[in-house]
Amino acid sequence: MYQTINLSKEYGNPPQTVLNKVNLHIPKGSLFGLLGPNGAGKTTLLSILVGLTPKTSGQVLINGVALERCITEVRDSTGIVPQDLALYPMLTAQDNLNFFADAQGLRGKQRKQNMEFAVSTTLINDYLNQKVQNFSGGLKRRLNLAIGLLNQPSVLFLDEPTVGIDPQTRSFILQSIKTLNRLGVTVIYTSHYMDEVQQICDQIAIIDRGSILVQDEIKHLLSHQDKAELCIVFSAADAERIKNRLSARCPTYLDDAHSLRIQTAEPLNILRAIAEQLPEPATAIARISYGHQSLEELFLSLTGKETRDGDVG
Amino acid sequence: MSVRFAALVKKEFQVLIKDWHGLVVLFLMPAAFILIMSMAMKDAFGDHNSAAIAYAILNQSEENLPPELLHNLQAIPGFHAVHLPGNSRLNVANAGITRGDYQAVVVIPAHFRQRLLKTTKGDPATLPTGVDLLLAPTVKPYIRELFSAALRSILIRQKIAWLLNNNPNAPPVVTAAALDQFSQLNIGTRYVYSGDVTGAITPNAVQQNVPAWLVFAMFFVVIPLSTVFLIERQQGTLLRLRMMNLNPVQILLGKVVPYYVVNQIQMLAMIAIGMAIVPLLGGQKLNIPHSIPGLIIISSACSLAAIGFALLVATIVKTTMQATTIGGVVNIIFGALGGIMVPKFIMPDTMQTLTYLSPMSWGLEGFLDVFLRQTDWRAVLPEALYLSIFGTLCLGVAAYRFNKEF
Repeated sequence: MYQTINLSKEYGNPPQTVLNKVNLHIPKGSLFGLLGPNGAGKTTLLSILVGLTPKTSGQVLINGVALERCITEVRDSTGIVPQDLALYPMLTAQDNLNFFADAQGLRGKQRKQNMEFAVSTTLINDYLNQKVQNFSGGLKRRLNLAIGLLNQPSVLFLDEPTVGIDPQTRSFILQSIKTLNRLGVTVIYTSHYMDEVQQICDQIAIIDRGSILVQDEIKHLLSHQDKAELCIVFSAADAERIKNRLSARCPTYLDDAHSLRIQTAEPLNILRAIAEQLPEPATAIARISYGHQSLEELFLSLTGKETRDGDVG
Repeated sequence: MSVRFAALVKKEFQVLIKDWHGLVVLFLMPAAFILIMSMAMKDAFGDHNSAAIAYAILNQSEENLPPELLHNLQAIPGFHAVHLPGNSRLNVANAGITRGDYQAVVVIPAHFRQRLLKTTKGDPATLPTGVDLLLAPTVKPYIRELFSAALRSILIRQKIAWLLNNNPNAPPVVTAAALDQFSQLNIGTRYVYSGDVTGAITPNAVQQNVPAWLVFAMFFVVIPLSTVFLIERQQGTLLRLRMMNLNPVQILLGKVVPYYVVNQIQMLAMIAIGMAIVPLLGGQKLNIPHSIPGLIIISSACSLAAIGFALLVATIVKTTMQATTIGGVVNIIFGALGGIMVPKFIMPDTMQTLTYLSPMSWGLEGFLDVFLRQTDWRAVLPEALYLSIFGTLCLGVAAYRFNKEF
């Protein structure tokens, strides 16, 4: 449905590359997670996909048609839920819904139906006549989502819709998104909460420094790793010494002075080898775990652990 | 001083130094005020002869005036005499007031000597006027009284001189009755509206204040307009509107219309206050302008200028704090420069010229035309044109910036 071919974007003078030949495919009806550290290029990519920012080169195709040729239709059928609360706090929830419905040109029966759909999906019926400035953070998020649903979109862009809310509201919003997806809405979802993405998305792409590092179904990404990892946390700072002994035998990564990750299909043999290196193995090892990486671990292994707050994009 | 207290003090300085708009309020605004107000009121508080309140003398008497009288009339302390050509007529003098060349004309009438020497044992108010004093409606009452008192003193002196000189050989015998007769003098004071002399409407404090503070209030739409605009920009509401296929011109016009209505409601509210509430508090009542079309034209043009300026500020600043600070400070400077706080006619010539840099000056002149000078709608067209050009330019730059960002 959404496809980008060698999509690039440069900003400023001298030009700074924010997106570098991005090739992305978002299938119709998918619940697609777009992940990346701060400044990776996610916002710019989303902005280009909905036609708010012009690209520098490459192509964006919607159902095989260039975005430029169908921008009005795309916007009419797309809902957007920005990370910021794009609401008028001094107005009531109903006033906000009325304004955005009118701004979209909704009229008559369709307006009423769409309004009912948005309100019932987000369960804000009981709060419609209250001023938004008196809402809790979670209720504001639900209204923010409701406004994004007013045009009954076939594609919904969600930019970190669960920031700063309690677990109950978060769970409700995630369930609502899954329900919408089951109803046929294509959802493009960005979040820094990896557990959320792992929980609801069926496909993801990880972007960093303007390039797509990986794109696949989550279950493939997590199960097709070559080997599972043995993670060991030592009581003393033994990790580097043990790493030096094991690195010739299997890929071994030092997380810090106390922690090692070892890729292996023979965890028991490796543990025996480590025990031989320790004077008192029973007390020298604080914690052991074995299994495939979580999405967060995969993300960190691909994008690194250094902070990115200084980057733009 | 403890380290913790020192750290608090240091932090406060650091925050203050980084907050440039706070520094603008603290330093630039008072500096600008001192400069503008000092220059504007230089003559009002000075003791030299370049007093800004100008007046002219129109002699319609058949005889030449005594040199001493002429000298005294031309040197009223605190006021500045403007020369009128010798053959000037009343309509020429009135036109000068309307143009703002001077604020008062002392008309020496025909049969001046006889009128001045006439006395009565009855009510002095029945005497013919010794001179006529024509005033611009913008002249404040206290200035009118000062000028009248000075004029009265000069004329009584002349009257005494003529009375005593009627019989130069007789020793002057000044009785109480004679003194009463000496001091009998009427000055016929009238106001000049649109070049016509009429005594029908006396300008009062509310008539002079409503236009000034109305213009000031209209320009303050910059605060709510720019604040809401910035919230929309920062919180993604404008992004949502873009996604709804609205174009930037529609969005800007969507702001112009309601604030135009707000400005018109401001005008009606200020008029209502002047007409109904001020009299209840013991003040004078505001008179409704003769020219309603003139009022609509000038208030519409003023509103366009105010909204254009507000949108320009909204598209330039980055935070709501900058919007309120910059919008507020610029408005106050516009007000000081534009004659809202200090009447333009008491400013020196240079400052009077500089007032035209402030759109509030054009708005004020337009509203004074309809409220005070009681002109018809044509008189406000120049001011309305300037305001419309200013508003359109501001709107154009704002639209360009918004479109680029959109």
